[in-house]
Amino acid sequence: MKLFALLNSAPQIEFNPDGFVKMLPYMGIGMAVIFVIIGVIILATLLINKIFSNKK
Amino acid sequence: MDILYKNLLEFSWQQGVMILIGLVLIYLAIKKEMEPTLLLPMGFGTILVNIPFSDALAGPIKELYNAGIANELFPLLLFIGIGAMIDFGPLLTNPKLMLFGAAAQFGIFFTLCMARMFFPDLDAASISIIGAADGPTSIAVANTLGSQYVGAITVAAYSYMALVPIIQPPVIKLLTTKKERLIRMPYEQKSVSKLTRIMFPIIITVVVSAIIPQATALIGFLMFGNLIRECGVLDSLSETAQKVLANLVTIFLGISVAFNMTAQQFLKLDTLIIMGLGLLAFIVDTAGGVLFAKFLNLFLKKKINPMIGAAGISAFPMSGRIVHKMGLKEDPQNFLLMHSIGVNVSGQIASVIAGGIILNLFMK
Repeated sequence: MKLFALLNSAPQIEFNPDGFVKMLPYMGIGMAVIFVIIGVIILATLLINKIFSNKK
Repeated sequence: MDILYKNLLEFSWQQGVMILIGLVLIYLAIKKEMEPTLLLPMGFGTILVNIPFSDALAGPIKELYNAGIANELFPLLLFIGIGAMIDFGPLLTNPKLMLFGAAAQFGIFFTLCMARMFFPDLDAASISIIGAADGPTSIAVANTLGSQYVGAITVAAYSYMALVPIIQPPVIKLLTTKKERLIRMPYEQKSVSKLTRIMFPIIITVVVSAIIPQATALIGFLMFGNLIRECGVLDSLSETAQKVLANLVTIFLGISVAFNMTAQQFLKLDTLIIMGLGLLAFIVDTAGGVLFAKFLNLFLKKKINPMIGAAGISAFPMSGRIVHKMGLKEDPQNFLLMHSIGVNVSGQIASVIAGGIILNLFMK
């Protein structure tokens, strides 16, 4: 509680513990989108490796 | 004769502290060789803007800031140079390594949640991008979102990038067992065709931009630099991009970021919290990559050394080398370099994608 009081006493800071929960959906969306895009890039890379590989 | 002391009487203790911070940045750059290309110009710029009634602040530094930082131009030009320096070969021989680059961006989103407890949405999003461990992306995103903390974010991003050799090893050791650190990963040399190396930056740009258009400039300029390198017909441009362009823009970038390093903007409790959140971002990034590798090992017959997951942060090539050195320390015959460097370059791509996602989620 003393920490809350200290943080709230600084005029620039408004401590809001609910903010963590509010951002959780963004965390889920963000990580899901990164993995989807990286997955597409991996598949594209495997494809171009196959198409443009050095033929012996 | 009052001309001799009139301005000296205008000094505030806050400006004194900022000049001291500038001197510390210069010391870290020269003596400790911590990211000297950025920390030295930033340190000196900090001194220039904290002299009372400094005409550098109202004049050339402000002009440079408006010319290259406020419109994100300098970070993007620097990306051309960075793209020209990167060899995607190790990644192209084993594209699955990109998954670790993705996992290591977890620190950005975790820090977003933590930062939102102290700052409003746009500032929290700007602060979270410190976890990208990528200076140009951090500056570009923070500027685009209109954050008032660009100075603190830039100092945090570059300082912690330089501190990666200190931050990462304890986190890696905490999250892995000796047995896991001893896992060997033999490297199979595979050749990558020139056509593949040329098509890769083009395809990456199209794929990423089509899904996240807000990342087009970032990924486009990075991949443009890489295409100049790989096309084989622009050797002089590639060399110029890697050396002259990168160095020139770095000088302008470093000194113009100091526009946000005045005492009024920097010396606040906010800055201290931002520095703490930045450190958290790097730690959680490292943990994210390592834990993802351990998770994958639950399903794989041929185990991965989980340390390579830590190389997924964008601090290239430092992070890759750190993981390789840690592997050699555990087992002098365990050469992880090609895997860790492959993961490290994938982190560069993933961090840019993460920056684009943050812009997509928070830009109005």
